[in-house]
Amino acid sequence: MLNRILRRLGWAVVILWGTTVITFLIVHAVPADPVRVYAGANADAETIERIRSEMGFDDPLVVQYGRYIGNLLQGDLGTSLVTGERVLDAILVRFPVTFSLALTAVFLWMLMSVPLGVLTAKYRGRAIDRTVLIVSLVAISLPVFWLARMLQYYLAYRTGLFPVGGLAGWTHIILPAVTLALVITGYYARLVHTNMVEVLNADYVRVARAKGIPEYVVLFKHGLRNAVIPVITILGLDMAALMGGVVFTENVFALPGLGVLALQSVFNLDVPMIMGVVLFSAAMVVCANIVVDFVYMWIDPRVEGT
Amino acid sequence: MTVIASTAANVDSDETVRAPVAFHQRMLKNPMVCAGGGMVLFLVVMALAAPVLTGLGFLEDPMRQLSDGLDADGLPIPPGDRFLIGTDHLGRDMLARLVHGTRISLFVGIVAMLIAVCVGVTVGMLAGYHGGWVNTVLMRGTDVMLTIPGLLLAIALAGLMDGRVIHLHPDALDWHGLDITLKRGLVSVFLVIGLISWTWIARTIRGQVLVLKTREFVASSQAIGCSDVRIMFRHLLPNVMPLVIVLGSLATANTVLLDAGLSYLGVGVPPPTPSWGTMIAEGQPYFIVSPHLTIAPGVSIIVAVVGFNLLGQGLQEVLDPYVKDGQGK
Repeated sequence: MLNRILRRLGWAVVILWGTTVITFLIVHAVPADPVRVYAGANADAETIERIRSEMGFDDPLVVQYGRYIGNLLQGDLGTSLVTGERVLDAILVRFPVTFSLALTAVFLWMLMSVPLGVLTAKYRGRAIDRTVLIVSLVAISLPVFWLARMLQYYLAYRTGLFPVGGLAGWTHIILPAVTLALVITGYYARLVHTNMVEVLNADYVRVARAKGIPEYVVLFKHGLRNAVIPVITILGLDMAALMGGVVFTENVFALPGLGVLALQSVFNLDVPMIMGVVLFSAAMVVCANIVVDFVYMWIDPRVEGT
Repeated sequence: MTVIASTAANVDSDETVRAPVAFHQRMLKNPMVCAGGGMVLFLVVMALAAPVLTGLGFLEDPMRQLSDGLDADGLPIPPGDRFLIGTDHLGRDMLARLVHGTRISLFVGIVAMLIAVCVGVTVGMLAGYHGGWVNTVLMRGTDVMLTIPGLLLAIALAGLMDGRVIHLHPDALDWHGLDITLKRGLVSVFLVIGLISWTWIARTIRGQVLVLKTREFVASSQAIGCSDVRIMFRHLLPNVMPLVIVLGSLATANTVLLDAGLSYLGVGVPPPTPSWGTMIAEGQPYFIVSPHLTIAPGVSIIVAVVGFNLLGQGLQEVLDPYVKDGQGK
């Protein structure tokens, strides 16, 4: 158990290190000139060069990277080139919004997809199964930002059931989370379905039924508990993709979260902020994966031994 | 396709070998292949025919602001007889823009898919076939890529690519013959989308290669002294081809969505080139008076993505009946 946790943590450090290398290379190999943005439109060439050397942008990449990692180890992600705000502070202010949005979305889609998956597995090949299949195929094909606009207009603006946008209390999280959940539920319903079908053919399920155990106990205790294990794995893998959906929903619903921050800093060429947000999101994905791992051990005691 | 058919049938030796003739019948019998293939074919024909249709006068010029394109209040014209899907906020014909937008979306989607498939298949085959440290390095790299939120990376890459010149010559030399200007445009969008989409293809291909590696035909090729490269390209590649085709179709659904998303956020192919994502972004401020500006491009994206998803899932059923239903993303 301890061994497993330690290995996970060591692995997390390696992944995060890899993330710093990739983001650093991408941000520094490709960037438009951040110094020019920092210096302003009217700065002359001399000023630009002075700022460039002051900020260390003319050092070799390796030196810049070493400096970045050195600061990072002391918990310093740098300061924004545009607002002068500390990057970590800016991220921590916006993090709760993104976190609650993502958590609500995951909760909603698991809440919808598990019963749907069990139901369609039980009535495999019937009308309900076919309907869910088609609906979920269309759902995963919806562009999140488009669906968000539609729901925002028809459910929030026209009927007033939900707030249209902005953030003033937990009710503002619901519609964005529903948007994310709607797109992903279908896919997870299929995953649960596929695994359920397999489990329901297993011998122990037949034995349970033969013993006269009520069908709902067979479905949810014998069936679901085993069928949901691979789904949990995929859930861990999908955390990074969820972050992408969050960028769109936050932008449409004007939620002041990490997604909006990321987009703003890209348009501002705010290099330290971009790196900070990408790195922080990757750290969140790693944390989510560790949590998923624990859930996994709790659901499937067999894992512990390996 | 018949070549693939015969390899597909030979993959599983336990199964009775199906004659290639039965193969396209199975394709045509599969409702998902037919529906998805039909949708994709329709879009491809649209994309190819767009300039011809405009040239012959069946479609307006997608870039031109028409003199009768806005009503007396300067608002976009709703769908009607003169303009089938109405006009946009600058008085340009929506139908023409949608049809021409098909070109960009499909082109970006397909090229990005090809990049993702090439990288994914190479990484997956190398990692699966070689094992050992090659596998460790490649798969750990893939894990890192899977951890970084791809969309954030894509936005950062695409947004920063604006107009930076990379000098390939020594700084002392006053010669700029080899300068590469990284401009936001088609090429940057292909690369960005391709480079964040290969990871799950690599994982799936690696899994398949691990299974194939234990088969006799690989051992016998090794025994007669085939080089690793030959085994990978002449023996393993044809056997993973059916899977590659399925993954490619599903990946195109993804890349088309990503292209629309990047354009929507303003880091895709820059305007005035008509692209579905950009059209939604431009149209949404007018949503209350002219919802068609937002709804029509959205529906186009959905048709394209549903088409590729259906085709991919259908092909999966036909080419690889042993794959669990409904998987793959």
